[in-house]
Amino acid sequence: MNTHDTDDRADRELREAVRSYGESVQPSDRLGAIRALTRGATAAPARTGWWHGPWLLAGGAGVLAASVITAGVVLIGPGLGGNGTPAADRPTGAQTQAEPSPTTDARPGVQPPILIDSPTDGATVPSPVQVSGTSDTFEATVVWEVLQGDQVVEDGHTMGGTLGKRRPFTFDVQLAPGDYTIRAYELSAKDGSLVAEDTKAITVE
Amino acid sequence: MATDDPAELKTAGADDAVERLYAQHWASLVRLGALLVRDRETAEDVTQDAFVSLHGRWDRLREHDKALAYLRRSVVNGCHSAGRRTAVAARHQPDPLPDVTSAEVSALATERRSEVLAALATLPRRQREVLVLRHWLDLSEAEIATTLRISRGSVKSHSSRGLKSLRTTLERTA
Repeated sequence: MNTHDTDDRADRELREAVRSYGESVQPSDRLGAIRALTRGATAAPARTGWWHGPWLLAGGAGVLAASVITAGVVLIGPGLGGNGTPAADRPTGAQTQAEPSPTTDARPGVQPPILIDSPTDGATVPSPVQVSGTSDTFEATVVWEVLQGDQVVEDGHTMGGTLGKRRPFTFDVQLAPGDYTIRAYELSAKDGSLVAEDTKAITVE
Repeated sequence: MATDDPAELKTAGADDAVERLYAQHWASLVRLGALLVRDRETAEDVTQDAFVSLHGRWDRLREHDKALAYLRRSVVNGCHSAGRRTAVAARHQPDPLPDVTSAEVSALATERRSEVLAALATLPRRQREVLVLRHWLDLSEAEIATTLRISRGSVKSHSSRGLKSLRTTLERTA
């Protein structure tokens, strides 16, 4: 069925080990959890969480994201190319800065839930691109994707901080030379709407 | 592989699509993840995330094949991210998964298998991913290339390099 050489002993042993290990794993049922996280995601009204505060209005991407959330549409991927949040709007070296909290709504200087620190907007970097930033999101999840135009060329997720503790996140991505937009975002676990995002337009040399 | 009517799936909503894909592929994807991170719960978390994000972008994927490729890719990438976090902890712990073997399997074979898996775990990320995708999901070179978004040539070289170092490691212990 394929051209892999299976007469190789190491290969055969590997196959046996992989298959027996794989089959020994007994996955538990997560359908309920997946349903809870996805049901109504496309039709749910906009979430008006406390952290939809001042940060959403901070930059071009933020304005776009805010209008999208208001419209109650799940925005994924395309259409955000090159909309980096201006670095000037961002407090620097502020890892220890106070986090958004339910009791301190609309406080100026509050950090958005997800920030990409490196690479910076407009940077030219070698591949693999090492992306790092800080976040404070639900269950620490940071979803990322790399766009070329409207096309998602790489994606994945990683973890940062959660529950008011801002923590660093990182991921590496192999990219051919060209222009890309790196996007890190969080979708609401409740209704799938866009909760937070940061984007960086970069050039891979 | 389980089959279903792609045309029918195409018209189904995101909820239905996720349910169907779950029914068909949940176990195999979690196991794929477990092979990459050596931890069932982490694999479940990563796979669950993959399904949730698939749901969010169903409008763009729409097709069964694309959706499945997306899920595989998400699991592989998610495991990579998760693996980095757990790597340090894992180094100080024995294999967290119980060795489920039937009585008739000799202890020797079991031991050999864990040697092979230990050797696999030491390989660089891509080599490990290529070998696991090939042996666990029986993916062809082209399918592996699509899943990992690398060229077929890279699949070949990762595969042969991975096997080569496995061979060296295993000969030492054989």
